[in-house]
Amino acid sequence: MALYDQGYRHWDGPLSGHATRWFTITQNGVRQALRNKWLVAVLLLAQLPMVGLSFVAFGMLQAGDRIAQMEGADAAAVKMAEGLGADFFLQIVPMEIFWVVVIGAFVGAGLVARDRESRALEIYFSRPLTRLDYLFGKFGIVFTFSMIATIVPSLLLYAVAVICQPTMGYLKQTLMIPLALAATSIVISVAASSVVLALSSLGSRPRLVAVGWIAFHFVTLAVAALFAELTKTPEFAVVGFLNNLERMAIAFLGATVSREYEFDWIWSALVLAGLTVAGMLIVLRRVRAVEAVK
Amino acid sequence: MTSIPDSEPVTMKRVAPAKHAPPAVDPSAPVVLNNVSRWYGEVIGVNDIDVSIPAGVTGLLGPNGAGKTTLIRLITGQIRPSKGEVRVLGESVWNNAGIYRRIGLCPDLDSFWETMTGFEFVRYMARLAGYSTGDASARALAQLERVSLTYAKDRKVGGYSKGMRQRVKLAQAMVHDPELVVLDEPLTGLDPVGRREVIELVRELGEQGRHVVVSSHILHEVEAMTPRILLIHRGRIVAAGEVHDIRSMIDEHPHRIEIECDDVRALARKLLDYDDVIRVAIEDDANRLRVETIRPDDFYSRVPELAIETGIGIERMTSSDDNLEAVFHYLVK
Repeated sequence: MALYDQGYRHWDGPLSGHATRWFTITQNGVRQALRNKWLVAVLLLAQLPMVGLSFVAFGMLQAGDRIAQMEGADAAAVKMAEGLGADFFLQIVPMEIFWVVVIGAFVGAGLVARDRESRALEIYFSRPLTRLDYLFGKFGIVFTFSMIATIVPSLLLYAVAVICQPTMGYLKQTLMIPLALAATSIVISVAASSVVLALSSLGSRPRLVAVGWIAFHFVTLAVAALFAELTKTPEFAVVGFLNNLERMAIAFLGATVSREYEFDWIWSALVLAGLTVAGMLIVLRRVRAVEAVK
Repeated sequence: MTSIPDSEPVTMKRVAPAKHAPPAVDPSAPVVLNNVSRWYGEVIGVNDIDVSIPAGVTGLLGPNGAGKTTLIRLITGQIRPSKGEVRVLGESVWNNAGIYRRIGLCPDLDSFWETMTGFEFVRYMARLAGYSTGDASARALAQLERVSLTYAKDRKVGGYSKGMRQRVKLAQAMVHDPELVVLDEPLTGLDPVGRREVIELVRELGEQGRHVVVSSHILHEVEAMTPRILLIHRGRIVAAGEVHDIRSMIDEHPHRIEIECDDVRALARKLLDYDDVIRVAIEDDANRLRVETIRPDDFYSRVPELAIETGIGIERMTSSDDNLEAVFHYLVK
């Protein structure tokens, strides 16, 4: 009679590698967050600025047609590229930043805080996950929604502007704009995601973190405005987190620099890079399976 | 966790030296702790633990605050030892994410992933262990079936009772087919049927050849799952071995029983006639008797006969020794 081993046998089928483990967290987080109808509403509302500006672009199309009839297609393309150029697309950036702040409060604030509050980290870190996997996974969730609120309306607006043109001349004249818009969206989303996650990891009450996240912007903007006004030094604008995002957008798009942003964009880049790295380091430091009482 | 002042050393008391001495550390055991201490500031969680947990099911028994959870967190690499080393399945467990493919942890927590359904939660845990979506789904369903939670798999965890939460935690701990399963107070909050099911499950895991470490503060619960236990108290392992050894150690000590009756003096006179009764004291409120006996089983069987014979009305008979705290009171100074 054959005797078969009834003992424990480990799974010998394929398991996914470590490199994509963070993606499982992102995928699950995005799926869970989309169950919140308020978040869906926010994502839809975030597209409204694009709709509004599309009407403006469409209105300018009529002017473009007239110019084309009077001065020829090439002249029309150049003039349209001026009208629907960098300065036009820069208008959408502050609105996108606003919605990124709202999304940060809705989604990002609770991402780590809730796990800390419910001690879910203990279960996360009883899986083959590193803290870096966890960080990237959570980062991916806020980043995804931030990109939906930034890159989607930006590129749709550009697409509308292109479609509304009578000739392909406009496309040739403005080829760098979509790249600049994409770069702007990435910078906004990366910096905002990192900072909101850091705040989330510092608290354990999602609502308080959301309030802190919004207060962070008001306070830094107010301080920046106050110092810039008192010292008549525009460089103080870098104290305001959102100012830096907008300054970077101006730099990417090559738009006209307004008076309050008359300083080198490098400063904003450094501030944002510093905040992004610091935010990630804070999360890595704060995220532990079990919080030790010191 | 418990603060242990230097002036209060934890020592074994009246434990027969050879028979009850902790076994030597076996470096090939699934779980090995070498001189492990963990402190939180000035508070000691576990203190100089040198023990190996052998293959099979082992109960970790200790009163609340004894250091069971700290020990479990050390074993599962959730916290770093302040001193010493923890090796699990031949590997150092701290900062070793890969080992969690081989370890399943059921922590002692209540609120988690409230907005996910039980199925989604267990599947997510399987996905995090590296299984594809299809495999993870199949495994999640199988484990939910195993813990009798299939009927509620599509309900949100937020709506689960405490017992259901325990079971879904058990399912996630087993979903990736671990070699070592660590269960922190898995019977808490379960009804009698649920307890029986979990006890059966733990036994089954042991029979399958898995290593299981299960903590509890209730002796008979652990006894139902395994005969092998580790007793932890004030952050130290105070005894290790078979439950019956522990029981016989307990039996070597006087067993305290309190009796409430309508004529304590008459009952006290009768009880003093028996050899096993070494002390009888009448409480101040005059209708309660405190008895110390060295043969509790004989005593318990004798009392009803005595009540019938003498006509004394016994209202209540309790033993503080049923409480694990009392067991440790015997074992530890």
